[in-house]
Amino acid sequence: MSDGGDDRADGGASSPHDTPAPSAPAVLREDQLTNAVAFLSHPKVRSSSAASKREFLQKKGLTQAEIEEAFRRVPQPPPGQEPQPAALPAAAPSAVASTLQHLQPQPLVTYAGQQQGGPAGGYMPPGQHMQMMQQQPQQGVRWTQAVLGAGFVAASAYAAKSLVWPYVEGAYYNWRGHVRPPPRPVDNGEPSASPTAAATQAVAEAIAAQTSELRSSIDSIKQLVEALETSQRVASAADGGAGVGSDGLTVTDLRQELRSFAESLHELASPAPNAAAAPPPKLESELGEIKTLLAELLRSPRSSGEAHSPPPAKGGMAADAATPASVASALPQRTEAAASSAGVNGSAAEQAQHGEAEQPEHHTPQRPAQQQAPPSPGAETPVPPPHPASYMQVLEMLEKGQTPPGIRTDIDDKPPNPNASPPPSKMKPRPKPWERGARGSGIDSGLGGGGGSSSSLASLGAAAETAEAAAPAEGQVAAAEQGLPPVQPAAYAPGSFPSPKRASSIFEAVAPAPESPHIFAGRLSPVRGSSGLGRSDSGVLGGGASGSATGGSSTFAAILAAAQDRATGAAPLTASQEGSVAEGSGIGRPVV
Amino acid sequence: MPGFRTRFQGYAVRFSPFEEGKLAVATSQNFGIIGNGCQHVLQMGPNGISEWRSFDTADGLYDCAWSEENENILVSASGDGSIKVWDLAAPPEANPLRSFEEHTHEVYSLHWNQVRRDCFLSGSWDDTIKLWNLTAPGSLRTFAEHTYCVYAAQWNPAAADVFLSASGDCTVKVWDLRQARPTLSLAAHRYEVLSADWCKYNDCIIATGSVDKSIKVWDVRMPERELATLLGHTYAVRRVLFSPHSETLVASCSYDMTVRLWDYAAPEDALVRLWDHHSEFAVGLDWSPLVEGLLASCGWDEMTYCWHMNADPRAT
Repeated sequence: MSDGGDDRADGGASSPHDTPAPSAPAVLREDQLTNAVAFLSHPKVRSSSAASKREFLQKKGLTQAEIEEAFRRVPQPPPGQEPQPAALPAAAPSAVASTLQHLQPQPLVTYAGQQQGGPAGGYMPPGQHMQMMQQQPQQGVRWTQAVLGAGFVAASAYAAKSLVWPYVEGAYYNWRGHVRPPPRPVDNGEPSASPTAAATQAVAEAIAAQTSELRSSIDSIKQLVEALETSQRVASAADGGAGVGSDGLTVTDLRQELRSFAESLHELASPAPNAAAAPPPKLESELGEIKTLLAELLRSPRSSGEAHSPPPAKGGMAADAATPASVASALPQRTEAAASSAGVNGSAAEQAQHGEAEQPEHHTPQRPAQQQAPPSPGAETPVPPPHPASYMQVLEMLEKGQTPPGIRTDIDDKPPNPNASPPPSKMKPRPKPWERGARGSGIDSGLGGGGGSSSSLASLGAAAETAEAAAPAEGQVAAAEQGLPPVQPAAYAPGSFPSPKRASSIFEAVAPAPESPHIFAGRLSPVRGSSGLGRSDSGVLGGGASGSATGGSSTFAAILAAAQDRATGAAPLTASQEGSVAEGSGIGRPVV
Repeated sequence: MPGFRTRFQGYAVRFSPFEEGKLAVATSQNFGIIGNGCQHVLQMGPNGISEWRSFDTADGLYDCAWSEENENILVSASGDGSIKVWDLAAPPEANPLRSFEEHTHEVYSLHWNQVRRDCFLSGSWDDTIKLWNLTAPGSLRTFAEHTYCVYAAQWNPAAADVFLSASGDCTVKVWDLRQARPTLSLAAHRYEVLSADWCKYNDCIIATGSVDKSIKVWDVRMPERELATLLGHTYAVRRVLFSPHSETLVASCSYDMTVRLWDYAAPEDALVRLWDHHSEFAVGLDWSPLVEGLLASCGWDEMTYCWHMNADPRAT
C-alpha cells in the first residue's frame, strides 16, 4: 500500500510532534496507543494491509495522531516486508518440505516394491504434518516436529504393511508368475491340501481293503469252526456217547486202532504171497463186521485232521451209501485176490475217510516238490472217490512234514550216455487193425473168426511168419532198411499212407497222394456215411452188440480200397486181403 | 490169467505194438504222491504174467508208450517232468537211453504217433503238450493253449498230423501240427476231462471221460452236441479207449474200481461188460492192437490184469 508506505516513510522521516495530524488532536491517549500497538503486533494483524489496520483503528476511535503514533511504535514492515510473513511461512514450508523429502524416501524405501495401492494414508500424515509444520513457529521446533513426523510415518507405515502385506505379496507373486515360496506351517492356499487329501484317501482305502480281508478270513475261520463243531457233534452222535471228552480224540483213537489192526493182519497174511487161498473165513467175517462198523462211525466228515492239509481236504464229503456198499461188495472179491489183505483191509476200513475232491486235487497238491495251486473247477463237484487208507496215511505224513519210508534217493535215472544211438529194430511195424480192416469185411475172418484169443494169436503168428518170408520178395520194404536205426528216415511204407514214401520231415505237410484225392492228411474229411458192413465178429463178441467194426465209412478205408482197386485191377478182394493180412505194407502190392 | 503184482501202484499199462504178449506197466510209489517209480515190462506166458524187464526211476511214473517204429524203445512219463527213453535191448546199466527234461511239471500222458510212427506227444501238468522225436535233442513243438493240466494227448489213428488233448480246464482241443492254434476247442464237460480217445474207424469221432462220471462221444464236425452219453460209473472216469477192432466199442476204467465196456451205438443200454476185479482205483487200461478183444488194466491195488473181453479178468 503505497499510501501506508508513504505515510510511514514520511512519518519516519519527520518527528511525530513536528507534523501534527491535521485531523487528530495532538493529545495521544496512552491506553489507546497501547491497545493499538498490541493490535498491530499481533501476527495475524501484521499480515494484513496498513490501510485495513488504520481503518480498524479509526473504527476503534483512535485519532489520526494516535494511529500514526501506534504505527510509529510498531515497526511496520515495509511493503517489501509483506512478503516476509509470506516468506517466513514459505521458509517454514520449505523447511518442512525438505524434512518431508527426507522423510519421504524412507516411506518409499519401506514400501519398496510396491506398485499399487501405496498407502495413501502414509502420505497423508506427511501432508498433515506439513500443515502442522506451517502453523507452528519456526526452526527449532522443526526438528522435534521432524522426529515426531518420522515416528508417526514409520508407525503408520508398519501398520499398513502388516495389514496389506499378504494381499500385496500375493499380487506380487502373481505378477512374478506363480513362483510361490513353500507354504508356511500356517497353512495357506488350496494347492497343498489336494495332494495330502489324495494320499489320505489312498491310505484309507488300503486300510479298508485290509479290514475286509481280515473280515473274510475271520468268516472263513468261523465257518471252519462251525464245520468242526458239527462234525464233532455228529461224531459224538454216531459214537452213541462214547463218553470221551473230545470227539476228535475218539476218531483218532479209532484210526490208530485200525492201523494196529491192519498191521497185525498184515503180519498174519504176509507169509503166503502167492497163495491164492482165501484168508480164513473167520478172519474175514470178523473183518467184515469191523469194517461195517467203522464205515458207519467214520462216515462223518472229518475236517479236523485235514482242515489244514492241502485243498483236497476241504469239507470232507462222505460217500454215504456207496461206502458200506463198496466195502461189502469188495469183500468177497478180495478173497480171490493175491494176498494183499493188509493193505486191502486197511483201505476198506478207511474207505469212508476221504475228504478229497477230484483229480488234480489229489495229484497236484500232494507233489510237494512241484506244487501248483490249481483253481480246479472240479472242486465243488461230484462226490470224491474214497481213497485207500495208505493214501491217507501218506498224506498225513506229508502234512506233518515227515517223508514216507522206503523212498530211495540213490536212484540215478539219468542217461549214462545221452548220445547213445537207439538200438536197431529187428521187427517191422505191424499194421494197425483199422488200417488192415479197411479193406473189406472179410478181413476179420482171418483175424478173429474163431473167437477166443488163442486162435487169433495162432493165426496172427502164422500170418507174421508169412509176412516175414514175403517181405524181402516185395522190394518195397527191405529188411535191411528196416534194420537201420530210426535215425535215417527209412523209406518203408507203413501201409497207412497212401504214398509209399514217408515224409522226411515231420513238419512236411503231407501232400495228398495222387492215388488218394479224398484224403488230405491231417484234415478230417467228411465221412462217407455209416457203413452197413458188418464184420463177422459177432461171434467174437459173444453176442454182444458189435456193429460194423470195419468201418467202411472211414475215408481211409475208401482210399485204400480205391488204391487197391487201381493197383490190382481186377484182383479179387479175397486175394488182396490175404496179401494184406500177410504183410500189411504197401498199397497195391501185387499179391505174390 | 492171474494178475501181476507190482511193487508200486500202477498208473498205466500199454501193449507192445510189435509183440502180442508183451506189455509195459508204469508204476509210482506211494500212489504217485511222492517217491520213486518203476517201469515194468511184462511178458504174458502160459503160466501167467512174468516180469521181463524193470527200470527204477527217481520219481514216480504216470504213463508209458511203446515206440511204433522200434520194438526196443519204450518211453516213460515221470513226475519230475522228464521223459525217460528205455532201450530194452541194452543192458540195464546202459539205460535210460535218453532223458528229455523240458516239462516243468509232471508229465502225465505219452502217445506215439501211429501213422508216421516217428514222433510222440507228451501232455503235462504244466499245461503244455510237446512233440518229440528220438533223433532230436529237444522237443520239436510245444502246444500251450490249455489253461490247466493236460491229462491226455492222443494222436488221430488215421491222420498223421492231428491229435487231441484233454485237460483239467474242462476242454478237449483238437490240434493240427501244421497250424499254430487248435482247430477245435470242445467244451466237453462241466468238469475236468481226464481222458479222450479217437475212434479208430471213424476219424471224426472222439470219446471223452470226465470227473463228472460220464463218457461222452462226440463228432468233431458237430461239436455243439455230443452223439452219446455213457453213464454208469460212480466215480470219475479215468481212461476211455476205443477198441482197435471195433468201431463203436469203448472201454473205460474209473475210480470206482471198475472197468466197463460200452457200445455207444446200442440204442438202449450201452454197457456191454463190467469188470470189478480191482480193489482200488483202476487207473490204467489198454486194448491190444494185435490180439482182438484183449484188454489189460492196472490200478492202485498194485495189480495188473490181462483178459479177453469175453472172459473174466481173474480167470486162469
